[in-house]
Amino acid sequence: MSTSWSCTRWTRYSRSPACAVFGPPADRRTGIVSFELENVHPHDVAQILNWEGVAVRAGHHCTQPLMTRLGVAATTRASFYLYSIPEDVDRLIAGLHKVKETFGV
Amino acid sequence: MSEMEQMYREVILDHYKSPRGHGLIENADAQAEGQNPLCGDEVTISVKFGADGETIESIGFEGRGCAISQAATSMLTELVQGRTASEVAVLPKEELLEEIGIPLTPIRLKCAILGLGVLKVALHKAKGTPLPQEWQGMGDDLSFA
Repeated sequence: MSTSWSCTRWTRYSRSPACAVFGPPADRRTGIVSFELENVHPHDVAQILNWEGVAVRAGHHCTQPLMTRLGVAATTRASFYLYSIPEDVDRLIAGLHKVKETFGV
Repeated sequence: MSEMEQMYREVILDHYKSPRGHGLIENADAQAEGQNPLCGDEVTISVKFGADGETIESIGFEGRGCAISQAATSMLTELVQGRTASEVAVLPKEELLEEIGIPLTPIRLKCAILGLGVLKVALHKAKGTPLPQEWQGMGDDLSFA
């Protein structure tokens, strides 16, 4: 699957200092992107994204030792696949701005 | 008000960002920790009793988790200040939920009452106060799912 479009868009956003993306660089990724927004717990991120019409998973993803290694309680995880369109990424990013606005971060 | 504005209303975010009763008490009379393994929320609560050995004189907590779990525990510390261990042992969760005052889905409900469960376990361990069925299975190395 080509994820170049999503990665380009996503990378642009994830350079923001308040957002940390875990995992390999964009050219060695599949469509799964785990990330953290500073000072907002992933369940709060997911809750607000859900209201904005964006479905993500949040939590430790059954990888508690990895979470400990990464120094986070949990992550938010977006998954892109064949049916995803570039606008989905835009919508996700807009949703994350909504999260930041709600939490004032 | 939208669903979002209700759940993340100002008072919740205020307690989340500036938790009351934050930090554990040294030489506490009662202490317990608990977590919700499904979402990884963690809360530890410590309590110091007054001269009568019954009244909660000070209460502090540490934890990490979503805004609901941490704000609810912060509100809890204000709610139980000055009450006795036996009063808190029978404190219905509805009283805390009323204080929180937002609609909660069943999953978020567990976030909201995590702190209350941990406090009841702490009092149970220290004072032998009754621990209702609902809260059993919570303890130092246990959690409720």
